[in-house]
Amino acid sequence: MSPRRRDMTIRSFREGDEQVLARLFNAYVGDFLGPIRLTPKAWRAQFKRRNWTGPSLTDDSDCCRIAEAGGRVLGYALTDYQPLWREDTAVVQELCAVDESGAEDVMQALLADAEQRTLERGKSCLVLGLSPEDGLSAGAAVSRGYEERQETEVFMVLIVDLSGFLEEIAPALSARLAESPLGDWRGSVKILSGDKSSGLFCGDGSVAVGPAPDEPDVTLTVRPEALPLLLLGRETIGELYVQDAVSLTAADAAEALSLLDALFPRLPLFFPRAQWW
Amino acid sequence: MPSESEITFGPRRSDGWRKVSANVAGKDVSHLYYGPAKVHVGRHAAVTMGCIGGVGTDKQHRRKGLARRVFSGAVAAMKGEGYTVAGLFTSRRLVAHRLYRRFGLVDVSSGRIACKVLDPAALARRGLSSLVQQSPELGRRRLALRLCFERSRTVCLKIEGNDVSVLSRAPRGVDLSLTMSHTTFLGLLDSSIGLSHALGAKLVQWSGDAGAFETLANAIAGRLRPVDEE
Repeated sequence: MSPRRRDMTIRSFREGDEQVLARLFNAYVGDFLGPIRLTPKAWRAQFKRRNWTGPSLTDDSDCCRIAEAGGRVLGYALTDYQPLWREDTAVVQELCAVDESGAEDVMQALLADAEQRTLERGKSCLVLGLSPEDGLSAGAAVSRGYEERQETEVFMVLIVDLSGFLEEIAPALSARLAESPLGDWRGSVKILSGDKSSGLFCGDGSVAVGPAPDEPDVTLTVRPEALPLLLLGRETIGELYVQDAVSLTAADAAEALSLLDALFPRLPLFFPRAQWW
Repeated sequence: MPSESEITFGPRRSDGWRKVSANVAGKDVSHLYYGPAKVHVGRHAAVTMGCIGGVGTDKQHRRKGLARRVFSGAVAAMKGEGYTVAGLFTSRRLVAHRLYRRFGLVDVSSGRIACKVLDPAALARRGLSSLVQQSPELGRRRLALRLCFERSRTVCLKIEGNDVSVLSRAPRGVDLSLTMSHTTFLGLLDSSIGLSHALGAKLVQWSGDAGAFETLANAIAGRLRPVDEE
């Protein structure tokens, strides 16, 4: 039995629900690497008609189940009961809950509901196409007896333009620096990776991007295969440092590592299947 | 030969996607498509990703460096068009995965997924049925099998005349007993785990008729073919 708030009910999707579901989706995936933020119209458009990335809510509103209490939406689960790759399997593609206490219980209840519906549709296995790095849904999954296994699908990236990329994430770099103990650090960082180079200039609580400086305070050399891992927050500077995937030149190496740790923190990855291309 | 090929760029569609192809004697023999997406990097920033898909090379034109030329051309064009990162989805089982790594692409997903087997008997029957369909030798055998899934009940099955059925109770004589987790069973069925690897790592334990086990092992091994179409 799943734990459940006494006043919580679970119902199927109704047209118009996309207003609140898109808001919930955007809030839930806010800290992740990957997901594209969606307007209600764009969220709904993903599930207009069945395609290889997901179900059609137009044809089968049961694919999206919504948990609510007192007329307020607490969370939802979106499940594909006919994935192309395994006939005996259903896939939960999205599982989002309002960020408040009891969120994991809401997710557990939604998973229990999806399991029941999976069995009713003659399927023997339910797969969570979610992020294993999302503590909330991963916790709900463990509580309901899910086991992790190897996935064959993989998302691969290549940094095409190092300076352009850093300029795009400059607002995030500034916010991360401001929130760190090194918020008032002033100086420059030279980043070298293969034939790419760029510079970060920190000061006045913000980070600007420019050409690689000639006399930087910190020089970071990154192996090309490690560059996306660092910039996208898949591995921290410390993890890459011990693997010899990066090297560092600085007057105070410990401070430089702390600075780079603050600028490039680990980010959980989640690419909802509906957003695959 | 690569020198005889010409890299061309198709017109941009209304959704921003375009095709890059290598043409030999005026014929498209290798190509990919790319298009834009704003991918978020946490709460405060988004990057302009060139989403790559529809990658393919005609069989008779493979191993000539054409895919690399198409890919390099696409990446150069992306940089000129303001893309800062390129990304694609593929499968570790595809030969293309190794090719993409040589092109400089890096795996960034965790490679893990959670699953739960809700009906072990149905899973076992379907899994073995698919093996029997692909392996005539297994289908010809008459076998009583006991599958012990960890943390779950034991499932007894009978293979006879290309048919697999679940037995409501354990038969007197069982030809083969196998113990493994659900996830290992699923991994063997979808070829993400090889049987020899699973045995070596003690993920699978068996007892019973060695000939029956060999037939089953051959059927599972027959599914482990690398896929090279992309």
